[in-house]
Amino acid sequence: MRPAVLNIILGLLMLALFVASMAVGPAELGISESVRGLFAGGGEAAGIIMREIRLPRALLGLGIGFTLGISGAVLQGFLRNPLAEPGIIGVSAMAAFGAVLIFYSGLAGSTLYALPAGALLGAVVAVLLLLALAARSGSTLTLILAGVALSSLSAALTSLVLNLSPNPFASYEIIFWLLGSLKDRSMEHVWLALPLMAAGWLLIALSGRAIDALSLGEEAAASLGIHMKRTRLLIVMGTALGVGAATAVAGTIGFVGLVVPHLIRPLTNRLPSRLLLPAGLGGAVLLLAADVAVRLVLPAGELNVGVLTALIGAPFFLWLVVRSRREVFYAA
Amino acid sequence: MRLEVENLDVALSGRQVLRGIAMALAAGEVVGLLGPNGAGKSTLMRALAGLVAASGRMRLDGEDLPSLSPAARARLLAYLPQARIVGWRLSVRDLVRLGRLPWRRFGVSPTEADEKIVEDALALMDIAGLAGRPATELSGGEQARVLIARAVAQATPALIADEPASGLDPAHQIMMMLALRRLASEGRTILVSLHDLTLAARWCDRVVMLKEGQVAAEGSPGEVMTPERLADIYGVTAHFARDKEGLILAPTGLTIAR
Repeated sequence: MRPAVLNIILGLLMLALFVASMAVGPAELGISESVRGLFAGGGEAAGIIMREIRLPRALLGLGIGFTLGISGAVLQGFLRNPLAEPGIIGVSAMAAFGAVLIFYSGLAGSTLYALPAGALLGAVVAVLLLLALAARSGSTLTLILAGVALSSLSAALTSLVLNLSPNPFASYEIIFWLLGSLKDRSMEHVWLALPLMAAGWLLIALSGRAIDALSLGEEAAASLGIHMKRTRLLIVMGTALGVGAATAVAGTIGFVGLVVPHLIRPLTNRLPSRLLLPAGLGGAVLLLAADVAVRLVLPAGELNVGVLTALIGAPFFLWLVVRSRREVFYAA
Repeated sequence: MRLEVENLDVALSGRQVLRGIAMALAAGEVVGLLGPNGAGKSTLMRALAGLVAASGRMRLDGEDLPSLSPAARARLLAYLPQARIVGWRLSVRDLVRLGRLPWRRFGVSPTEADEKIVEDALALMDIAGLAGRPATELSGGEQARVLIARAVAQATPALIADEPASGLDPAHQIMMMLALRRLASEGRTILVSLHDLTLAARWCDRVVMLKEGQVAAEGSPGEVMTPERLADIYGVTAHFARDKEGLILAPTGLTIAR
């Protein structure tokens, strides 16, 4: 498929799901009422629901989905490894642990920026550890094992924090937040996360040439004039900013970054740089769709979107491991 | 362009791998880099490509290679690593087109001139018929030709190829050497490492023989590929003959029982 056509189709799908996300909710609003509520201003119930409940939810669904999709695509290209994904390699888990620490310390209540700062720091530490452990050897197995180790470590540390947490209510708050949700987020969350995520997208986009050249391995890429240290820094900072910000406002939402690049890649010429934009758009489509689905399946709204993506994603991961062993082998 | 190396030393994790290497390659010649496993052939090539730290001089037409930016160096010198890595199911043409990266600005699509160079590289390596196939699904010999076509498409004055002929059938080995000779005849400077002494003797203008990180001999195959030297460097005996094209050399056995 021509890249422009693919991007237009995915862009239209994303817009349609954005509108659907704005239209679904426990308050039964008609179309004209919704549109008036969104644009007219004023303090009517419809206006408040649209602008302060549904709009931030839809915007975050779009932004976070885009971030997860593009992060998965760039990590797969960079590591020449179709199983790389922020969730599987432990970045999301470390970001979540960073945020949980902030919860536990009680700093979360003091300022709106404490939680994102904790999540970002966790994400940066995770990516740096992964690069130190796995990027040099470049082997699939090392990367996955390092990711498993990192995820286990984050989970253990998170358990420790839960164990030590002062009261059951704090534990419940942490657990619920970990499940990943876009529910009850405000425009403040949007303004907090979106600029950071956009900065992440930009850094990732700048690495496009490098990940193409890396299809031939690190040595050939370097001989093609690619500055490897700069590339590593761009991708580390890009993914950490994006995934850290996403995790900070929505908790852990897994597997979007794994599933989407796989579904989109066969529709492209498979050059890693050509996958970035469609994977971002596809991520937004998938997360918006999942977030609409959780509201339709359980209208009371208690199913977390992170739970749904994990329920869909984990079996997909398994299937991928079985089916694509050959491609993994080539990539290693 | 003239590629000059003087007094080159390379140490890898504390071990001296190359010591005092000096050689000069003129434009238009195919120079074979010979030596047993571990003699330092790959390290020398990687040093020229700027992939390992080296002390000493490396100049291409007077330009000091180490002081160039990676991008500027990539427009002067192309390097084909020994490891044949093909990530993703890229088509042969897309893969070869990666050779044009150093010449393209960020976000700009390939020009007609780029495409012409890519098509020429495909034709030179006899893989034009495979252009639309996924490079991951080719035979080892086909992949080797695709990967060198990528380096050819870089259109640099100097080309350094590490073992491009290994794993090829005899016809494609000869075709590879003829292609390198043709690139040299267009004025490029070619350095190619080879394990196959027969190929080296027949198709290289000159050979540089390494032994334990030092240059042991340098000259035309007829001058330097002598029974004594092969015994000294490789520990092999060989059968020598000549025809009007030059030297015919076939290793026949070991000089000492191993």
